[in-house]
Amino acid sequence: MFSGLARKGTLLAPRAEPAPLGSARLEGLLGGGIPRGQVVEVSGQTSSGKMTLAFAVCQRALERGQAAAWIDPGGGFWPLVAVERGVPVERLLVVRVAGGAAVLRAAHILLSSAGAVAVVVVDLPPGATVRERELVALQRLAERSASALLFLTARAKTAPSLGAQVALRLHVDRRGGGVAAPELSVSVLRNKQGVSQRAAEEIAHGPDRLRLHCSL
Amino acid sequence: MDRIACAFIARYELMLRARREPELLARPAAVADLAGPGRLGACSPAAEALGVRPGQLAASARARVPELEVLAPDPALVEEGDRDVLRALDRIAPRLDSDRRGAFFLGLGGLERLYVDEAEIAARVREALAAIGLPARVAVADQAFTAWVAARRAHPVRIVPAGRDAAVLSAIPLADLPLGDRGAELCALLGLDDAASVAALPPGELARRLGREGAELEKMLAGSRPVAWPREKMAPVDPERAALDVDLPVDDLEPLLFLGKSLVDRIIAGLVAQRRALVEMAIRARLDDGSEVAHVLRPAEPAVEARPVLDLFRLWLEQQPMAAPVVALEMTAAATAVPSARQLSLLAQREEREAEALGKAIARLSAAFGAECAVRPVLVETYRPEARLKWERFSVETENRQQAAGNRQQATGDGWASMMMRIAEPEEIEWQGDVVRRTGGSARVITIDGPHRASGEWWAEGFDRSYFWLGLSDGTLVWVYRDERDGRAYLHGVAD
Repeated sequence: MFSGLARKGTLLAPRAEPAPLGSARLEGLLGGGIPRGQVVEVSGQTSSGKMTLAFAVCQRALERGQAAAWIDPGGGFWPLVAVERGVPVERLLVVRVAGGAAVLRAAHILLSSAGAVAVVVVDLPPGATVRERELVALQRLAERSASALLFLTARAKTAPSLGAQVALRLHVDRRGGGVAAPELSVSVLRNKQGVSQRAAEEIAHGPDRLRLHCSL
Repeated sequence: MDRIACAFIARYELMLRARREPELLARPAAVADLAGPGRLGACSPAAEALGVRPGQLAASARARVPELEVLAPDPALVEEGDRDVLRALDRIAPRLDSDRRGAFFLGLGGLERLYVDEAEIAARVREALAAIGLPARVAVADQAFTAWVAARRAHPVRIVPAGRDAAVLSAIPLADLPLGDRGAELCALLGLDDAASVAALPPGELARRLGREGAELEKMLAGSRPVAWPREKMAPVDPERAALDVDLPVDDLEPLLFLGKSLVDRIIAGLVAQRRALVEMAIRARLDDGSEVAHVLRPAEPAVEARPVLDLFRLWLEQQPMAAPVVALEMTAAATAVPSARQLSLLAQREEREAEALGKAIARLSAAFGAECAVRPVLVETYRPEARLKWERFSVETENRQQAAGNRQQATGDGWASMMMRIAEPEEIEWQGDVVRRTGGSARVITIDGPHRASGEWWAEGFDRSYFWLGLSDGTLVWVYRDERDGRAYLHGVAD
């Protein structure tokens, strides 16, 4: 009936309903999901699975008919696997901009229109930094529009968070499991509304293979 | 075993239109989404007589029949038609479901005392649908899928004897399955030539290879049971559910209400996305002494907001204090209903506000970064891997929230479907043995998955590639291909 994972700090939980992640273990760990109206950082090295985690949040919003925005500075965001699997992407807004400053401005514009999008994922380019006052401004906008705001960074597990304003920091590692079924380990490095230093593992099904096509 | 009946209305959308415009069927007309792939859906008998067939490209059909009238799909009309049909069928059986494309399913379990036999039920179904201007073919079988394929070929009624589904399926040619071009090609490659062999594929295979259409077909092949409609009469097949465990047992009223609110909010949001209203909320609380308490909340009217449910939750907690602190709480939407017209209007207003906000945000983004900055992905039928996603400009006017919610996939379920990836312009790399060298360094290959061949476009420049997923010693998972024409290797993408 109930998940085995416990959660603490429920009394300090945010008021808006958390954004679900599609993983009962992680949701149990985080008190229901990603808190809305807070700055959330998802860190991890290349191929760690941080995009996979962030897209899972978008996917749940899309399945509820809500809009989700993915700010993509490099233009390489490629959700083919999700589209082919039938994730409804009619309301997936991909914002293509160049540079760290433009990424933050796009997030600012999206969150300024309260209720426009339920989830905003900001894929920070490598080396980009965000000033604390910018994070404060974005957090206030996210709170007003009750949106989930996720920053993707390539920081190492031991590196400091994006800023003091980060309410929740998740770090993703790919543990193994081969190419076909990589095992993703998610650690809660900071959680202002619960306990940190907990970890859950999720098995993704691996990058989908190309379909078998014959030459015409 | 509960039997299932399927009522199939051929040319469903055209028949719905013909209720208002009967002469439509006498003209060459077809439905096609020209904003999408542009393939024809339902075609009128007059169009079929001229050689127009469902699945043809609208442009080529028009070239053949210039007078062909191509009609845009009307989701609102289909929704209204679905409701009319389900209301008509609700007088015959309580458990109903629709595929929204003209197939309607009736669960026949428990109806044995009401009707002489299944033939009588089928006759009543046909009468009920004929009364609302929709002629139907009807079949009864053990599985929904069998009933569906039999109904498509029924003249006009077919009763498949119990236990004979497999025999019926084995006689159904592939052409009668909604496989699409890619599906038909794949089945031909795999040597599958009838419905039974397709149904015998391992679970998940069709969804993996054919995407959404495969997932839908798989659901049908799995013989998924009809869900209840209206929902008051039976628990939903896949009810909205939310649960919380707490480390520190809670026994005060306000903290319990706070916990409950997060669960109620979540369930109501899930239901509203499916255009449902809550009729019954089942609550289970696990107490610190190991016991469990259960209760059912029934709002005065089907609820699309959390407040009336929370009011009842508060009253229950006040009247029946828990014998021990609560350590876990679970809520389930035990019964749901179609919202009232007033509620639907309120929901529509809310959605309009959100759409307006989204429109404003996109206008500001376009002003700041250019009109092409806000896009969404669209699947394209092509063999070239990097061209399979097209990016079209995001437009609030054309997006369809209900369609998005309706596309909710059962197959995705809990857990993550698969790893996401980034791609870039192919970058030539040096890959020899277990070493990969690219600009900026080299890494050892730890794992290899492949090759997966991709080739085609012989009429143009063409391509012939063998793709591999490589797990490298630096921890990255990269997507590379070897060009079979010149043997060179290219880095094409990275999983993340």
